[in-house]
Amino acid sequence: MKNGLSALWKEEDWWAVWIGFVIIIAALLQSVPKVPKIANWSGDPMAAFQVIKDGAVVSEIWIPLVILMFALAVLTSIAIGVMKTERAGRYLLGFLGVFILAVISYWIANQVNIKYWGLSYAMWALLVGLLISNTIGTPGWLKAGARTELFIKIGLVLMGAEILFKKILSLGVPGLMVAWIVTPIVIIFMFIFAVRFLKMKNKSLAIIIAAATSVCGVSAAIAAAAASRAKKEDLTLAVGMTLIFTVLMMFFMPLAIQFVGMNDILGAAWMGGTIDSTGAVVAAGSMLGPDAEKVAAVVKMIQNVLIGLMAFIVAIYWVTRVDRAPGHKPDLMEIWYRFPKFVIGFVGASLLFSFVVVPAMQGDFRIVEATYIKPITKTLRGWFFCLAFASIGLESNFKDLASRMEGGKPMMLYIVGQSFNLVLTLFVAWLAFMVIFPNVL
Amino acid sequence: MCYKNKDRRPADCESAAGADWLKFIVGVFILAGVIVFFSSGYTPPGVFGEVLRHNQEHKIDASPFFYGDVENMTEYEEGVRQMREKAKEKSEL
Repeated sequence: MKNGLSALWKEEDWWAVWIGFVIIIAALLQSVPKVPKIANWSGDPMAAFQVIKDGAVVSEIWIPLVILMFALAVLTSIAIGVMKTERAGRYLLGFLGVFILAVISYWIANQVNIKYWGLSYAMWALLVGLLISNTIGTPGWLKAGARTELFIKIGLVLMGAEILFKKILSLGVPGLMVAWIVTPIVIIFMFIFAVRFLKMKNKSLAIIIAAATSVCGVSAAIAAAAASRAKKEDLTLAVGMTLIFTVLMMFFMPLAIQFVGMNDILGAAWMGGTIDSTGAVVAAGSMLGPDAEKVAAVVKMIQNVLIGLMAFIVAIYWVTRVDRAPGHKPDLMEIWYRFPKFVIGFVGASLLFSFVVVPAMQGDFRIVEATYIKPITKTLRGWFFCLAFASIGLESNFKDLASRMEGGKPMMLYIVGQSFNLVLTLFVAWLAFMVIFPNVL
Repeated sequence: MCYKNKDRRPADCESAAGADWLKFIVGVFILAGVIVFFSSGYTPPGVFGEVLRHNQEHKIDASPFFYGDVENMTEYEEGVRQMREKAKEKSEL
């Protein structure tokens, strides 16, 4: 095996697993204080940095934010220092700059009116980074801290802790039918359509768009990009497309459902299975009424659980089929060597929480979510993703993005794939909720 | 970067850097304009703004991209569980 045991401390993938699991274990031991997050604000911009309880300012988060910044800087600089990919001191300085950009992005995203539009921190972090890289150029010292892949992979390992398998049964068989039958069919259809019909050369971009369209937008795009070792620009393009179409679908799908007088539960399941991001699904479902809101959100949640399995399969497919020399069949050792190891951490964290931590809490995943996930791993996952998107922006330029458009093929892929997804999801949702299990809700 | 290019005079470099900073400042203003627009509470007229107005009225955060980020996901799950139980009781009757 190339690198042998030293891969454990020389490869970024393994470092993502170690750092992710250090955080997870510390969270389980309850030795991590509550991670600070930027609060929602409306009129007063400084309210984003305050903790308000019962209408009164209890404290401010400046000091916890600085502590978080240094904690993450130290944790990640150990990996950078050991891997020797950058001088630790130079990385630390760059990291502080990227962290400040992440804080600015979160601050913009958490303005309440912006949240109503469904515009997440991912978009603002990308825009802030792109603004710098495409005008004055990203200075070398800042670039040193923009470790996109490392941040994404750590974020994904932490996200694994949020994926609890017990949730897939929340809506019984009909929920599974909508979320787990349609999704793989749409991914495979879109990938084949991209490669065979559109003749897209960039297969990574094709799988990222397919995953984003069929699974759950930005988070699936991140996972597919990391599993297929895609270029940053591919992720930027896919995320940009999914964000635009998510807003459009959130605006028009509930109106169309009301216009044709479709059954609310059917409409909710349809939107839950097709609109890319969960927040937009909740908003669109709410237009149809409280029951529809719940059903739409839960269908989307069941679909979200697929993300780990999807990343695993994409990683295996890439290693065995896409990233291999023509005519060469890789043996097991080669597959193992080239397999993106962070996926092991991602899936491992999910299995740990689903089959060890939740059962240890008498099967009550709400306690697990409230104690370990929401205050620690989820918030830190958000920070790592925000750092990653700011880094992507800092390392991308519009010329490279334009060159990846291949004459509009990615857009064509999204539109055809999403149309197919809309038709198939509607059919399966109708079959599941109206024909086979009409009395399930 | 400009200074590394031997064919360019320092004066050229200074003007290129100046143009870059000008682009940056214009970009900051554009981004600020976009932020002000979206944070103003403006909603498109008629049916185009219906969902947005609904979000404002019911304070619905449409930005989370993963289910874990939705604040009241647990309530949604509980709500669906109750809906299923009610439906089961009804069908048994």
